Amino acid sequence: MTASTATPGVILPATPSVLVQLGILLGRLLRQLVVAPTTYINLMVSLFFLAVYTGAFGASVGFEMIIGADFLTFILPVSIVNASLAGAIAGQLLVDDLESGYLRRLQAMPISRIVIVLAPILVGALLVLTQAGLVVVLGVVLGVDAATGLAGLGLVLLLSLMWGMAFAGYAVATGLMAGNAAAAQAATIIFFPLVFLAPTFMPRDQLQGWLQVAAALNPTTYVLETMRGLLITGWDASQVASGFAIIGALCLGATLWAARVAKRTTSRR
Amino acid sequence: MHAEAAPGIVVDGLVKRYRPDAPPAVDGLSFQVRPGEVYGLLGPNGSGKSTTIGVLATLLLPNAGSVRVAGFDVVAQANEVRRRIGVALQETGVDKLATGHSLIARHARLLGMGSRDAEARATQLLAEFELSDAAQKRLRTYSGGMRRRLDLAIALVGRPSVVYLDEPTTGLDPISRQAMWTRVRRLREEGVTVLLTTQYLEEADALADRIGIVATGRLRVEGTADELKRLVGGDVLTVEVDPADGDRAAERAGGTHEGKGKVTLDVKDGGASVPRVLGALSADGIDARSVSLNRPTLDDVFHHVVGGHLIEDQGPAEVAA
Repeated sequence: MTASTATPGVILPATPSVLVQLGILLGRLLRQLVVAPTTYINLMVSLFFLAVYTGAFGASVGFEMIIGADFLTFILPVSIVNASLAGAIAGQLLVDDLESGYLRRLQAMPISRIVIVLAPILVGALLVLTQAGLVVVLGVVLGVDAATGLAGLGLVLLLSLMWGMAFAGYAVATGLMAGNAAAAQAATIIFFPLVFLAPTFMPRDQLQGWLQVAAALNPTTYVLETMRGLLITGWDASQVASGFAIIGALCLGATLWAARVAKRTTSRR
Repeated sequence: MHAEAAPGIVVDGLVKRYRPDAPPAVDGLSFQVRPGEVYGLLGPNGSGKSTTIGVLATLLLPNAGSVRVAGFDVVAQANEVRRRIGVALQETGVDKLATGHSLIARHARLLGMGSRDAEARATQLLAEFELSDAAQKRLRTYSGGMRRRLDLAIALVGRPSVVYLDEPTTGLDPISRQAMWTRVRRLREEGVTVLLTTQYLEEADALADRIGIVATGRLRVEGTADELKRLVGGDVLTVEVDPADGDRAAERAGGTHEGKGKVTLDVKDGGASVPRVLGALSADGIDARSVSLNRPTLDDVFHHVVGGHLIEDQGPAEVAA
């Protein structure tokens, strides 16, 4: 029979670097997504929203006069923000591992605890980025002409990645705190006030007073306005800087929150 | 100190509480498992077995006491411990969308093997556990028995020197259980230290070199299966004679006539007692129609210990093998 196990004095292989561990766990989660039919349905959701919004409002010249831009270009960031819902998969993946007991298996291995939680967050963000990429490609095909060109489109995608990481971090934190898949799914309900208490269908100055206040406090506003600035207005360094600063802080905060909750969940007690 | 030269597992005064105001799940537990030994940890539900395994697998922190595995402290040197252990816990899961091959290969890579070595290791383990035919099938299609075999295969990926098996045959049919027993015996042949918990006392009897019985978080008795059986008394010798000779036979042999010629005797060593008793009866002209010898089972030991008899009468770990 072949020897399965260590004999006394056996030389153990070196533990792989954190990056290699991250790559292995990322590969596992990506493979899970590739074989799950819901992934492809989710990918279509933002495209569907883009088509519906454009079909409903795109033909109205009066509407375009109010918003001061081509409707498709104006609404494109909304579809990208819709894509952030896909980031919730991060929480779902981690809670699935928690419920199935696979997380315990990983915890008994000599691997980084941070990697265990970072992998689903990155997968969530990558899914958001992929979905945002598809939306941008469809927008360009349908006639969106970004005022800042390819570089601006690149920044739009970068912003969507950061927004996706923030949402994924939130999903991981709430999912682990709740401890079950249903509660993790329910926590994504926050998405709706985030989208509708924002200048989603009108510029902020066209909103009513109370909604303007709510929009000013809502980080989604800064994602939409920064993306619209890049797509419609052109280069505005201060707007881009402030948009990235706000979303960057949100991304960092959500990731640290997720890491803190994950550390508490996965650490020995 | 060279890790593999150290005792397999040394647990000394382990205390584990889940909440400060709760009674301890493990309360001053001490035992040692020698390198290459299969040690069976038995106890009723809630006795602290799984908590103990949780601490040994570096999943839980002890409140007091010390635990060393393969020479490393589970608190201060947790990663060194993790590199040397293989864990097949009851509640550990797998991702059901993975295949058996990809799951094992991934674990091998996480333990530091290169891609080629990891693939080879997965192929080898799947063959060893008779899962080659299912290597490329998704785990959601695996039966319970296949899953348990896969669990053990995963536990062995890193060629561990210490393996924890938490009720490895629960829910398996008798054939799968026998196959799992064979695997565990092979581990012993390979010099692996095995800590086994089980609900099946005959499993501990068949596999474990030594057995510790825990109750309410403390070790109550410890020893080989034979030593433990001797704790609950000797063997029971039953001799059947002509009913007319029953009372005389009981008097002669020093036993009890149960009626219809059936005479029973409590004897210390059944094997040695049989010729002595038969000789005594024969000398008195009494013929034995049949003789049977019943030895205490581990079941009897377990019931005595967990039932409180030995706990109160004899204290913990009085059989130090």
